[in-house]
Amino acid sequence: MEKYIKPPVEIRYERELTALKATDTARRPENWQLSPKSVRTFILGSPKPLTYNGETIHITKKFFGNDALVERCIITLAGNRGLMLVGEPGTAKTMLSELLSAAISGISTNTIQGTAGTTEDMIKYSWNYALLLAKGPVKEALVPSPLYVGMSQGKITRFEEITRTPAEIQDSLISVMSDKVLNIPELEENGLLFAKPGFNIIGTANTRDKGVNEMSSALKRRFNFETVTPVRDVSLEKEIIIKEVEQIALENHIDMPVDTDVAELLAATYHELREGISESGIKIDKPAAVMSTAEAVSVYYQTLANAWYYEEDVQNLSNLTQNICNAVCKDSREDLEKLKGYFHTVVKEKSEKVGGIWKKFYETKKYLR
Amino acid sequence: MEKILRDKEIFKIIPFDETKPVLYFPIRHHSPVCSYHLRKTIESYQPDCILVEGPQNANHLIPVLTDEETILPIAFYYFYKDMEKAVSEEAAHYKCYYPFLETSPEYQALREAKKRGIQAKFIDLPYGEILAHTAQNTGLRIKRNVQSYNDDYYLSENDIRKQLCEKTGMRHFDEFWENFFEIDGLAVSTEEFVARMMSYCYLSRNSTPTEQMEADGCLVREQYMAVQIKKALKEYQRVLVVTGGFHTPGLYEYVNGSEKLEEIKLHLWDENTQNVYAIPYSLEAADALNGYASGMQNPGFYEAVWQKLEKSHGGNRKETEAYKETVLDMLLRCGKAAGKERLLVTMADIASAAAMYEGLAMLRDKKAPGLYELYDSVTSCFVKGEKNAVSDQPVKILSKLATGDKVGTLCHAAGKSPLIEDFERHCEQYKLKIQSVIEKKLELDIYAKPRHMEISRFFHRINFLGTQFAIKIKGFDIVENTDRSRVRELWKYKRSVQTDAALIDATVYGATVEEACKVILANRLQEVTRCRDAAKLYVESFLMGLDDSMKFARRMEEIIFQDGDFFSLGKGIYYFRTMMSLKRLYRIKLECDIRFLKLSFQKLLLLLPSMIHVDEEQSKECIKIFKMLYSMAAEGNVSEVLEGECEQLIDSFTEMIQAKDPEASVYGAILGMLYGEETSYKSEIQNALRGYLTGSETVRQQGAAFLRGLFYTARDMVLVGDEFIRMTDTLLASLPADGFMEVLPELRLAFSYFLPAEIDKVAEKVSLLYGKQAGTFTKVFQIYEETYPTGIALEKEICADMEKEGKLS
Repeated sequence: MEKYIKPPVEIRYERELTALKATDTARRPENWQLSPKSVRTFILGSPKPLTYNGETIHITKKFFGNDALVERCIITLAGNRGLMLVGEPGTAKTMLSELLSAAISGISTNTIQGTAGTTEDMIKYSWNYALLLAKGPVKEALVPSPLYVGMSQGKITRFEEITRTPAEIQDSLISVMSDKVLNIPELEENGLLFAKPGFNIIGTANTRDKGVNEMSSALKRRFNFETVTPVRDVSLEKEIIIKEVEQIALENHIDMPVDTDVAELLAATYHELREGISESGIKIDKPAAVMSTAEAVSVYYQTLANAWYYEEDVQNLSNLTQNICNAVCKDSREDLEKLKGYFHTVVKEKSEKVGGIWKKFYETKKYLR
Repeated sequence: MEKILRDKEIFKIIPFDETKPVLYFPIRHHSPVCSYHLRKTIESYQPDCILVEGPQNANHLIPVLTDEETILPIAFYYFYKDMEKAVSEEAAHYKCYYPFLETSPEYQALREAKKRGIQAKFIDLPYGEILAHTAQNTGLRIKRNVQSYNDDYYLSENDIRKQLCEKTGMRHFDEFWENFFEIDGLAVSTEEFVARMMSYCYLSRNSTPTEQMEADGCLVREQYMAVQIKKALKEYQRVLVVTGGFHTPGLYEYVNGSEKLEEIKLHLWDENTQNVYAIPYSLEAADALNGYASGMQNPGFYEAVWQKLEKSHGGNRKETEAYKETVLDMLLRCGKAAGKERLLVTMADIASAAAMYEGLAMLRDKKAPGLYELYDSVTSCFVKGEKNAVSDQPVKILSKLATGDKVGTLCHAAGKSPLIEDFERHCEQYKLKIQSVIEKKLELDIYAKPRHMEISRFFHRINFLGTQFAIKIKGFDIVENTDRSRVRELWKYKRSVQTDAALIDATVYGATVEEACKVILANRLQEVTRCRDAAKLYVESFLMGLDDSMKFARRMEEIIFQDGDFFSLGKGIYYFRTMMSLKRLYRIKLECDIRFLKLSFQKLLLLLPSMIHVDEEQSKECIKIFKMLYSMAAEGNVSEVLEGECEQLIDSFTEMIQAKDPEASVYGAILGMLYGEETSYKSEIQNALRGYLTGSETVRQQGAAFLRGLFYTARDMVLVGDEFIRMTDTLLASLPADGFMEVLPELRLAFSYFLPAEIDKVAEKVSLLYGKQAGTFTKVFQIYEETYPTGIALEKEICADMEKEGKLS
């Protein structure tokens, strides 16, 4: 495998996808690489390993928290409505959309990145102006957008951060989603692109970020919405942190084991700050910042990298506290006070009752600044 | 999973052999599939006696349950008063429900027995006996708001449940049950279904420790039921035993075991100690009760499935079609109800949802879509945008539909509980029109007419039992201290199903309304720990016209002694004082009100000094209590009984102002009250205000809080001379703009204590201070309603202009 900082899903899980495809006997919608059942197995994992080319391949669980949601997503994509994944930042919406695209269409990179500057051209098609001037409006001069590619090849098109795009630009999707046809008036009689079976759109949208636009009701009607919520189970969150940090560390050649106690502490801290209540029932002021599992992973990875490059002990929690502080106190000074409040109540209580790593954690409170 | 459930070995242990004299049919409460196969079994087995799990002392109610006039849901309400202390030393009262729905296999068994003219009876121990064999905090002795006889927890809360869900990929036990029993069970033969049930129940039993079964009375109940089965076998040829599946292996073992079964001796309790009544019930109540693991939830949905099964009974249609049809029906009803709520649900959404539940059923290898596929499809296709409390409406509508809103009615032969009889007797005595379904209004001149006072008390008593029979629309509310000047009370009342249900529910506490109220009141008093809550109960007792017996008084004293919460005691004092002043008007003889008042006052005095450092947030409530105490000391009737305490109050106030760093508003309020006692405190007040004036910015800001406290208790200070106005003016002028804005809310509050005429006087003084004519600041510019839209439009225009010029971000 060629080296990438972050390989796309279809490359990262190439072996699993190939084995699933080869052993898949269930019914599949036209142009789907895998049947809905195999798509589910790919995303939610299976206790039974597959045997392919004499090799035993384990299908790992890749999305945690809500299996029914994944099933609903798959059935939505097999129908004629788009799928819109909404939720707080860091809840693995993008990852889920990548997994679904890779399993269904074999490609997760056919993506439109929504920004405030996204135009209708970027969504539909644009022109190679040199060719346009030389040959006029011919198909050869047309630069296809990911939507165009998806329609013409019967593949999933991902639309990331759709609500960052102005509402009127978002609305250019309405007719495509209703009629499954894209009109290119410049190509005259050849100007109708009919979507092939297998085409659909997966949109993702954050609900808590600043600078998002409202979606029109007309567009909303063409999507099924799925709200992805943060993982509510501390032990599951700990598992995710460990698994993800190990993977990133491996990709970045950091040969250092992930400390499970630290991961547990981090998972508990993030969980309590997110829920606004401690394990023992103490009420905490919730920070305004997003307390997602993805943020927790990032905090731990930074701590691990720091320990690796500066040859420190990962159990020395001062770096962890500083990284938590940097992650939490981004937008508002008040969040720092809330974090301090958490330390002075919950962490203090745990340092006295539980001791051990919580005692060490409490001792790092001086780094909260 | 199917493999486990078809385990032949387990099935062999308890044979389902219709040639035998006894046939055990395992059920889960409220399960349509169990009812379906049970009915088939009755058809093929042709029993001459059916024995059903249920307390034996309800046998006389079987004709009521199966009467054609009776419409389900109804419930059996059992009560037992442990006066003999057979259960525990607490000598408590116990009650529980045994609901019957159309889907209940027990009901179907009894109905079929009636149809066939064969014997049918309950075989479990009477309710009180079960309690006597149950350890504390287990089984029917777990403390809950409502208790159910059904012991579904054996099947739904055991250890293997989690493993089964994990293995089968189901979210929870309810989904697992629906898929493998309710839906799949319709597609298999009765023998196969019973085999699966037996296997699951056997597994559940194996994962339940014997100690638990002993503690919650399960084993002794089974032993008793086994004796009844043996007795029936002597009398009948073909006995069908219908019990919760968990008990089937136990019963089988007892009946077929070699050991001789000992007869369990029953107590000889009269009907006042232990009794049972039939009451109308609702699907909603059954659903809430099922939340405590007493049967399948979502009874509305499963009743709809049962109705489809009834329709297809004997036809050629596949039984699993019942699910497909019910799911579609529910979806359409949900879409229609959402439309009525003005939620945006289109026909396309409904079609998409139908495709979704079909697709999910296929993906999940289910024979037909069930309730959970329906929930999924509504979540996915009807909820637009992020799922939250607002956008979640369609799911809530579906949940309501799945619960159902059916309310049962009883046949005429059902009989009445003594409490209902007492209620009806009183209604007749007071000429209340309870036969009407229309709400009636009644105005009561309670102070002038003793009969009206009696009716008011009756309304309060009936309401105290949770009947929602009468609502007071107008009249003095002692608890909230509103409408004090009103001498008449206006009530509306209507007898409803809830009224009867609540009255039956309270039967355990007494045979008359008065007796039940007294017992409940005493019980609640045992539960509360704060003086505030206890005094509130005292108010309720007062309104109900009940006396404050010695038992009541002892508990109240205990609570006052133990309560260390200043605010709770303060509220308690308010209630006691109010009742003391009202008792003559209400023509009620109270023995202990003065004692309670004195005790709580004394307790409060102990806590008083620490309140000088109260939190800013609690300061408002604190000074309110101070003022109340102070004004009580000035009231003739109170100061007479609290002479010593009133003197002590002033002494405490004097001591409190010596404290360091007092909370500003509390300090101001105390000085204001002391000024009322002795005008020499004026200089002290001026000194204090000067201190706030000359302090740092933070201290100056506290000056506003000081004024708020002071004005609350002694606003007349401002009106005497102009010295105070001048000092206040200096204080305000010394504050920077930002600081002024910060204290503005406090100041507004401080001045809000003045009466309009006093405000005019203050304005006059301020005018003179600034060399203006009197009346300059008293002009009020009235703003009319029509002015507001103009103002809003103007503001918008200004904002738009500022935005254009980049002055507004």
